Amino acid sequence: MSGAPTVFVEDFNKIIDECTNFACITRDGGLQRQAISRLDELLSEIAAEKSTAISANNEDYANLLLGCECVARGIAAEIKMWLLLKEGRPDAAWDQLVTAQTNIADAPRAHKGFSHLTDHVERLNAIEQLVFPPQVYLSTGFIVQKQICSPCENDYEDCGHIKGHPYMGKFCTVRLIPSAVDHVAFVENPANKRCRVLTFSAEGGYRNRMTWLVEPRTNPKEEANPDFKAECIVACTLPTTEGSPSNDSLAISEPI
Amino acid sequence: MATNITDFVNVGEKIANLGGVYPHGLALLPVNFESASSLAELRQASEAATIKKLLIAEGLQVDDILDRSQRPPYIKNKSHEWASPIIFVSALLYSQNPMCISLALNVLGNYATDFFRGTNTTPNVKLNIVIEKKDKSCKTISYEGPVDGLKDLPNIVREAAE
Repeated sequence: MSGAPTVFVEDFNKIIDECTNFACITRDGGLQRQAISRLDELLSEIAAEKSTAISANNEDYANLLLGCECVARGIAAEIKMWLLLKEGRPDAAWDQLVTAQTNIADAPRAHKGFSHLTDHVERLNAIEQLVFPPQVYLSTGFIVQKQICSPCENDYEDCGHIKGHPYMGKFCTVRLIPSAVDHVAFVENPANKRCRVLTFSAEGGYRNRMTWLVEPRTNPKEEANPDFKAECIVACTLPTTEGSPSNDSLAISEPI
Repeated sequence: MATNITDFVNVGEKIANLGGVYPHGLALLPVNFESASSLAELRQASEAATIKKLLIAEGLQVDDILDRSQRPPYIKNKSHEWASPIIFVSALLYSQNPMCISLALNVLGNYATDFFRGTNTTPNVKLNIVIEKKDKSCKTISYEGPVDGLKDLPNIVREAAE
């Protein structure tokens, strides 16, 4: 799919409209998987078109295509969320919800042409409130020695780029070079909603906060330790990134 | 929404004690500027670099109080709240350009609004403005509340500066 930007965008809108139709729990799972495959193809087509725009030094169009990528990823994640819920996998569904929320919220940052997506953001927020139980979040605080800017690889304090702003089809992110973990805290509003308590100690094992089922302990030594398991960002001294919420990485499951 | 005005350490003296350079324009002070007893203890808000760039882009003069080689490390919290660095306004700057406060707050408000876009949380900002009076004593105006409330701060700063 290539040609004049307007033709590409028209085709994009048509595919997104078709696929968004499957972002409901009642839709057939097979049709939902087909929609996800179509969105994956669309992402490849957007990437190729964006390369052309970058080669032509057309920053506005490259940023528009960045927004298209966000929307396609967001809709795909929303459909995956419903599929996973139907498969009885709410923890994985939650991750897809967060992916959908961050991508749909990123699109208006990429290009003003996506400012109408506020309604879709509210829809996803409503799904979070109505479909999932309240979550307990964690926040990691750490000391950062240096911040490296993604577009220019210079010290972020010395360059002209702004974190979270789009530049030639990519968001400016900042690679943090942490030197020490400062604290881990429970917070009401986390920067990353994947950073949450997964299970807590209960009689006979760990109770899953999503399903409320008690999962047996795998390690007998854990028996005497009333605790919880959480999924959180591990800061340590590894670089991490910030700027676009969807770029948060290094999320792993770790007992705390 | 809460706004408090309290005494702040004499910024000029403190910077001199730390071996820094007194700022004649706006300056972004480290978050523990008052309590730190040495350069090694200073910590910057993680948003300080971005705020500095945005203020400069609006034509405001932002001075560094420390040399590039002495830049303090940043504190990065992964919670979704927006905490601004401490904004210092020198007596000289305020006497020459009192509108700089409104302009700076407008920049901060726009950035904070963008920061919270797409979230389902009630946007709350935390902000401290330190205003230097003509006698070089300093007051801090602490604000915590919605982004909209920032527009009322210039009047409060004016009262604190008198």
